[in-house]
Formats: sequence, C-alpha cells, structure tokens
Amino acid sequence: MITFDHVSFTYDGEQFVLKDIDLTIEAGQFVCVLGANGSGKSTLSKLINALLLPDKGHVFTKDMDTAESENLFLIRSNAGAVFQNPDDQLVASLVENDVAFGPENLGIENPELRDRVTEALHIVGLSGSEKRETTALSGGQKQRVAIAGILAMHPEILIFDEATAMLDPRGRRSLMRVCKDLHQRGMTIIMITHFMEEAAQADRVIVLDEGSVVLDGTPDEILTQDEKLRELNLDVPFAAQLSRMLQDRGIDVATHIETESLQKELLERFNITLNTEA
Amino acid sequence: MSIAFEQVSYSYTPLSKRQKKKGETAKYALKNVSFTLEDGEFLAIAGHTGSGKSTLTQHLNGLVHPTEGRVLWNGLDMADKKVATQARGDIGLVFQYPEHQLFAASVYEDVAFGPRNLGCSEDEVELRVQSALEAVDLDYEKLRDVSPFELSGGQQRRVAFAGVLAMKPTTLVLDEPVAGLDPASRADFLKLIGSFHESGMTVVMVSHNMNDIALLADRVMVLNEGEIVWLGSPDEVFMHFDELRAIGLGVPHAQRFAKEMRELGFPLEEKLYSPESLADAIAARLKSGEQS
Repeated sequence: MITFDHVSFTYDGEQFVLKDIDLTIEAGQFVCVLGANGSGKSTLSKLINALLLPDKGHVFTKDMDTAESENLFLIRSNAGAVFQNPDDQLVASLVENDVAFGPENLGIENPELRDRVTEALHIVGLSGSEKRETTALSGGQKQRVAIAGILAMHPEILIFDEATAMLDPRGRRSLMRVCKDLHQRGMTIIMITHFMEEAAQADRVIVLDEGSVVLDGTPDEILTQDEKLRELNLDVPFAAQLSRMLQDRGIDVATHIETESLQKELLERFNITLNTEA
Repeated sequence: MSIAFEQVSYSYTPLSKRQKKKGETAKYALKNVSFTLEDGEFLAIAGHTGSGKSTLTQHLNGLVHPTEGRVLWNGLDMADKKVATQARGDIGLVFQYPEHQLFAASVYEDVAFGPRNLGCSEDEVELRVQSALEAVDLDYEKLRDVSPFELSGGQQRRVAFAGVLAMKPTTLVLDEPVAGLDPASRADFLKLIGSFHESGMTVVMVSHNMNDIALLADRVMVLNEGEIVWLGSPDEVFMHFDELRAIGLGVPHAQRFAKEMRELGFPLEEKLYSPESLADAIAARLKSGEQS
C-alpha cells in the first residue's frame, strides 16, 4: 500500500531529517509512529501524500510514485491527513459545507455529494450537526469534522498527525473510537502521536529517532522496552511503568502494556496467596 | 499579594436592558465564582473544554472584567484601569502555546519587551533578561542574539516564559503550559514550573492532565459549565472519581488503577495518586500474603 524505498529528506539542504528510510505498510494496517520532537515523524507522514517529496529515494503510495506530478491528484484523494490544530483545518462556516468541500472538488455532485456528507458525519458521530456553525464546535468536534471532510472523499489511507495533541481527554477518547472504527472498516491508518495509550491499540509501532527507524514491531514488542523508550525521550505506558516498579520491588510479574492484563495477573497472584493462606 | 474573586459571573454576550425586561437569560462562561488565591500556593484549575478555565485566567490579570461581581487585587477592584495596569506587572500570564506570540528579531529583544514597557532602565532590562533566561535554563550568551524562530519548539516556549518572568511577577498564571510538548520536554517543563513555585512564586496552572496536577498542586479547583464544582486539596478532589469522569475529566492513572483493583477484589487503600505509592501498596499486599 505504502512503500518507502531508501528515502532521505532535508529541509535546508544540509541536515537530513529522514535518513535512508525503508518501510512497507500493508493495506488495512493500523500503524503508530512514535518519536521525540524533531525525530522526523511528521516529515514521514507528509511524504505519504506528497505534501513533501523525497530528496533521495522514492515513496510509493498505492503503487504510485509520489514524485510523479500526474499521480498527485489520485494520491491526495486516496490519502487524507488530519493535523494537530483543530482551528487550522476547517474551511467553511457550516459543518455540511466543510465536509462537502473535498468531494465537491473531486467533481462529485448531488445527490451523491449529499449522501457522502451524511455518511461521513454519521461515521464520526456527528449526525444532525449538518447546519451547525464550525466555530461553535469543541476542539474534538472540529477534528471529527476534519476527518469527515476527508472520509467524504472516500480515501483508503488516513493519516493522523498528532491530531489528538490539542484535545482534552474526552475529545481524545472520541477521536480514538472513530479511528478504531475506521480501521475495522478496512482503512489503512497512520497515526503519529505521543500518547502510549493510543499506540497500544495499533497493529504495529514504528519508532523514529533522528531520522532513522530504530524500533519496528507489535505494541507488545516495542512498548515493553521501558529503558529504551526513555532513552529515546518517549513515555512509557502506565501499565509497563507499574510492571517495572513492581519487578523492582521483588514482585515477579510480566511487563504489560495494557492495564487490564496487568490487573488480571496481579489479581491471580493475590488469589493464589489467599488460597495458600487458607 | 492576594487575589480574591467575589461572586464573579461573566458573559461574552451580556443582555441589554430590554432583553432583560423581556425575561431572556444570558449565557454565562463563569457563574458566581468566589475564591481567594493564597500567597505562595500552587493552585491547579481543571475543567473540560468550555468549562470556563481560560475565561477565569483572563480575569486574573484584568484582561476581561466581570459582568457581575468583583476581582480584587490586594483589596483593590481590578475593574479600575489603574489597578489593572499595576496588577499586570505583578501577575504574569502565560497563554496557551505562548511561542505563537514571539515576535522580535532576537531572543534578547523578545524577552526585553516586557521590562522595557514597565519603564526599566536599559541596565535593569539587561539584568532582568539575563536572569530570566537563566531561570528557564537557556544559555544567555549563546542565545541572546539568535532569532527565536530558529529555536526548537521547546526552546521557543522557554523564551516566551522568560519574557513573562522578566517582568518579575509574584504570581504566575499558566494556561496549559505543557500542551503539545513531547514527553521529555513535558517532564522538563513541569520540573521548571515546580522550581518557580519553590522559589516562592504563587502559581496558577490550568491543566486537564490530572497526573501533572497530582504531582504539583497544593489545591485543585474543578470547573464545570462555568461553576466551581470542587476546590480543595488533591485528596479531597480526586476522591470524586465517578463525578470527575462524568464531567469529562480523568483522575491520575495510579488512582484509577487502584480503584479498579479494589473493585476486582484486591484490597488497596484510597489516596494512591502516584505510581510509586501504588507499587509500594501492591507489593506489600502480595508479600504479606506470601509470608503468612
């Protein structure tokens, strides 16, 4: 679906923010990209839909070279991105006009246009908000309208570039729900984030450091490496942090990345000690 | 330097007399808010988006004035322009994403803007810029002539902080000071904010991160729909677990974990807000089982 073939990128012609990246992302994967500020993760996401072009190597999105200008239209309509600041991404004053903006530019006309807007708003949980003013929405709602605007273009790839960074916990949870739902509908999701709880829900976690891929694997393989993550200036999921603290205190538990599984193991241990007492 | 809110209500669209006569009711961003900010305390203000947090902080240095009620600074009404101007030198307000407000050609000029406006001499300005940059862990000699726009996001935010510190406020009001930073810079900034407080400043921090609040605050105020729901010690506030969730706020990770464990039948005491104390309690519980 997406291939990075020996990709390097520089903004100023001197310092490479991405260095010789080789990656393949399969259709339908939910990939989370982690990395400290300046690691190159946003740059990576912008190369996918040709917002940036590689200085060395090639990026293929749906087998189309992003550097070929005749591919641009198809690539952009197939890979949409939602960025950090909810206030920067809406173009119209009414929700329905904003969502219709993308498909309209693709040449979609009514009644299909109207159907697409209705469907997209339904998916992001904003049915009935068609006539609301975009300025009156909360940050989380604005982000969902931005997603709806992309969904209405029927893309196969959705890129979230720190799209939850400026949201409060409730907004973040609602956006994650939409994201998981879209993944279940078969979309390819690329999520750039600092939040480990979000990364734990992906199929695959890629960690960048100074422009190179340093870790690549399942959340279980990557997020349990607490020392390595700290070295890379990243957070450690709460469950992994607590697992490690318990190990330091002489409790023999596995390192978990999700709280439910850690709680389950601790409870089992507690019940065993209860039974031996009895 | 105390700040007192006396039954403050604020509406962005106050009603005209005629509308009042018709019996229409205004929408309030703040409703009947009363509290006193104590000298030297660290007050955290938590609330869901739209709860009135930012409106409240803007009252703290007279940027907006109450529609009803009063804000007193040292007993003086901040609705008085002279008082508000005086108070602004004393109460430093750092907005959300303060780096968006950097404007000058060099770090020095940006930080110097505030003290110059206060009428400080150039010698005094230089002293203040130097000590403010040092307070935020930036190298004065190395960075003074650099354009702030060439710095990393974290450094830019430090410059913006320094610009406020250079006014020598006794009270610092921070609106979501660590939003959008990566985990390492977050931790650094929280430490920095803790050090401002330890050096004697009164700190008001708006945040919806309960872990950060648990780490730093002496008192916590929770706002919902413009009203104070709770104001008290972290203990007193965090015990309202379900209610906090219901108004869209979380509780510290450790506390949520402990509560869920209790519900699963694993006995743990309440008031476990830090990962360390939680790990101690779980380890003790499992070990006491083994020994008996």
